[in-house]
Amino acid sequence: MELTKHVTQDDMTLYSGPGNIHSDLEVAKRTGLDATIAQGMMTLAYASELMTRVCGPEWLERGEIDVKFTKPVYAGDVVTARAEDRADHYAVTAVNQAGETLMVGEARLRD
Amino acid sequence: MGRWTDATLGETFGPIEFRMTEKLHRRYIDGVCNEVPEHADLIDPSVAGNFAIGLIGSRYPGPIVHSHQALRYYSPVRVGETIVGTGVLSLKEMRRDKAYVAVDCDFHRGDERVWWARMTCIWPEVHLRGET
Repeated sequence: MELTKHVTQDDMTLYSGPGNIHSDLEVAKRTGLDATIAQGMMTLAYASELMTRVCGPEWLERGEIDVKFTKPVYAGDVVTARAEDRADHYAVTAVNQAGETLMVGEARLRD
Repeated sequence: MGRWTDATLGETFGPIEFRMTEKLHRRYIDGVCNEVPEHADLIDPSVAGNFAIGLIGSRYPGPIVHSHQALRYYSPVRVGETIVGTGVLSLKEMRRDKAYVAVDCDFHRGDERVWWARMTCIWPEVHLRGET
């Protein structure tokens, strides 16, 4: 199962608030970045939403997810989160429109 | 962000109260265009990762490079409830010239644990200023 999100600067600013590397280009440049980048937690939130769709309300009671962020997400990116059933867990990934992996990890429901 | 050399293993953060207001809920739901019906009045528990950043940021403010995130959910939290977060610095080490720290966080509603989070990040000051 997968879901796709179009990331906008407005989304990034709403999610992370003003005056930081996620919403303010000048702050991002002072930190050595060329552009604002989306907060990693946005990508994880996509995966958590996907797992809620896969598992239903149980996800909110006994869900577990463990991920590594591998590449930044920028405004204008199209992010696809995927959850593949591997019997005892779900392999969770997120990729951008170029097929680059943004996040990789595992999710499961505790017994 | 504060100095890498100031952080110590076992260092604690919080307790900090997080009030789950409708405004905060909408920020984290609308910011990712989440239309799952469960979130009409239940908080998206992935916000525990954001609150973990808030806990370490309460003493070491500034940008971080978020590296890994683990989350465990135990009980749904409704809009309008208040939870209390605490954290402990569980990792501080150099890996391939990068300075990593992790903070393990518990979030409680009264005596009941609702979420757990381990937030691992790279301390940017070590890169930007060469501090070790």
